[in-house]
Amino acid sequence: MSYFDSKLPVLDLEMLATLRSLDEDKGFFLNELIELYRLDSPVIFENLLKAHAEASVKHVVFYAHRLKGMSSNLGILRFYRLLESIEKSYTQLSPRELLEMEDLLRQEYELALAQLVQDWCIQNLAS
Amino acid sequence: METNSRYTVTLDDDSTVPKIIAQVTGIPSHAFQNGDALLKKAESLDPVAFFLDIHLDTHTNGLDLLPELRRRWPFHPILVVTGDPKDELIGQALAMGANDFIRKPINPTELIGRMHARVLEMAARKKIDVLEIGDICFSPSQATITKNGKITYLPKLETQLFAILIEQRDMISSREELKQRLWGRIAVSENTLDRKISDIRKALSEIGSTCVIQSHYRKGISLSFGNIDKKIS
Repeated sequence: MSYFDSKLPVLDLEMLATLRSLDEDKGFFLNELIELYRLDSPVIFENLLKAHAEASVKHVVFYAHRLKGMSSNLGILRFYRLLESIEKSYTQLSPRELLEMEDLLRQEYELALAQLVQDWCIQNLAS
Repeated sequence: METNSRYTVTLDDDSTVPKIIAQVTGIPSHAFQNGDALLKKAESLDPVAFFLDIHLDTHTNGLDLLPELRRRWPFHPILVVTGDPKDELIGQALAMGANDFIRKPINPTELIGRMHARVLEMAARKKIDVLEIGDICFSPSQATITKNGKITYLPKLETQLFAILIEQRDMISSREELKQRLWGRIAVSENTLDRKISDIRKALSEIGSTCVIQSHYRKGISLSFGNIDKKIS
């Protein structure tokens, strides 16, 4: 899909390292952010999919923007860029792109969450 | 609500933002997810700075709150935090009273640098609250203009308008910019602005000031002292 760059890394490692350094690399602070994201983002994500299913441009743009902000602050790079593309050019997407959008969103969201938890959560780093 | 210790206030529907701001600044950030909740607590708030998101929900916009926040906290730094790629929104926010902006994703170094700069700037501005300018003394916090012992009082909006005109003295401010800074995105008629200007002129005339507020056809409004023809072309 032209609006999605699959070559981008899933996570911005530099940004995540900066966030982890904010509590002297103990990782508790980053863990707290990841937990907040895991808690807050599913509702917004589902709202985005619902808005897309209903073809409500206003709501798609709004939820994409909101999820983009949260994702960008946590270094969830590829998903954030995908949301940015959707926010900017949702109305210009082809019927095929629109049809494939839900699957692409799910795939990227789940991949980002899995990598985030696996590589950056304290409990996994310790093991 | 903590009122004795130092803290910032964050208005953002993303709960990670106040966490990051608190961690970066080293002081708590009181989080509000909508403008009404913030304004309800307004009386008890005296933060180091405000961080304000532009897009709050599908109906409200952080920009709508800016004039009210600026009226209540004339000397507190207000920084807009936005992930919106449109530069015009940042321009609007600055025109409506924000001191600075931070883009998402938040860069901790930039955040702390900008906040410190704005805190120092606003503290300096507060110290010189009584402006001696031309033949008058103007105090925005007291809403007074004095000349040779004569004193006149201005209502809130007129005080704000006069402060803006003084900031931009000898230059022409467009009517649109003045309206945005006073009323935000609320649509007001030209007459409303003209009435405010007329009230300020009356106040200046009461104390016999030489300060002149001039309307420039299709350009805007200017304020000057003394020989206006020399300063405004």
